[in-house]
Amino acid sequence: MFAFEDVPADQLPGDGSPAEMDIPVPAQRTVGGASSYEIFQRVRVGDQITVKSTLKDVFSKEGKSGKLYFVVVETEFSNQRSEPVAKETATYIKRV
Amino acid sequence: MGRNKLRWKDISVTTQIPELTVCPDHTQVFMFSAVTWNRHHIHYSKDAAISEGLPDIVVQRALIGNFLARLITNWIGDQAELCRLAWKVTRSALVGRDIVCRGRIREKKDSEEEKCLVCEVTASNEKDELIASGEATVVFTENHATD
Repeated sequence: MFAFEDVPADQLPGDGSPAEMDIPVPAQRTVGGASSYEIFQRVRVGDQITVKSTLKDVFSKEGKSGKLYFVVVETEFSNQRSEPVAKETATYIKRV
Repeated sequence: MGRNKLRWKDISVTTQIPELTVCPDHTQVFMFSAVTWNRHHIHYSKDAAISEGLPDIVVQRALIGNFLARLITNWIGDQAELCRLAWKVTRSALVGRDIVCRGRIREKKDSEEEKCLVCEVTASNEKDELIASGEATVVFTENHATD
């Protein structure tokens, strides 16, 4: 089963970056970033996977060419038995 | 890929992880955006990339991570599981350029609960400039030959 709640294009940020990034920081361009994946078990044919993303943190740092804004999004994947399958912590970086 | 079976007892921090060179072209970058529902315009429009101060279409952070995962899974085959992969992108990777992925075992942990390897992983561009660096953890379980 594949059910994906699409975000209409007109509700995405102007550059088409993910909707999670559409938070009010005074910077537009998305650069670099980081990901950390933990895999707890293999996904098997027929599994129903639920994906839940949470905005965990927003903070800023002074970069070489101006202020950088960091957006941390945690995404949890669980199966039909509510067992964790995987988790990603993604850090997006925005700059002016 | 599994030609030489990886055995826990033969592995040490000096064991070489074969490097992996890939060259993501426009089609692969486009298809990766499509399959991950990523509509960020720097991944398909050269004009948009240039307007953001980039020289060309940029390879997705997650695709670089997939190459790093492939570096490790090509090496371990079915002998172990890649359980954790973390990486940070430090430089834009551009479409149509070689990306060289390398790994090095930093630590071999052998406890009663777990046998695992902690590996440093990097991705560099054709000028040998660092694109991404990170860490991969590989676990050998009871299902794998740990003797």
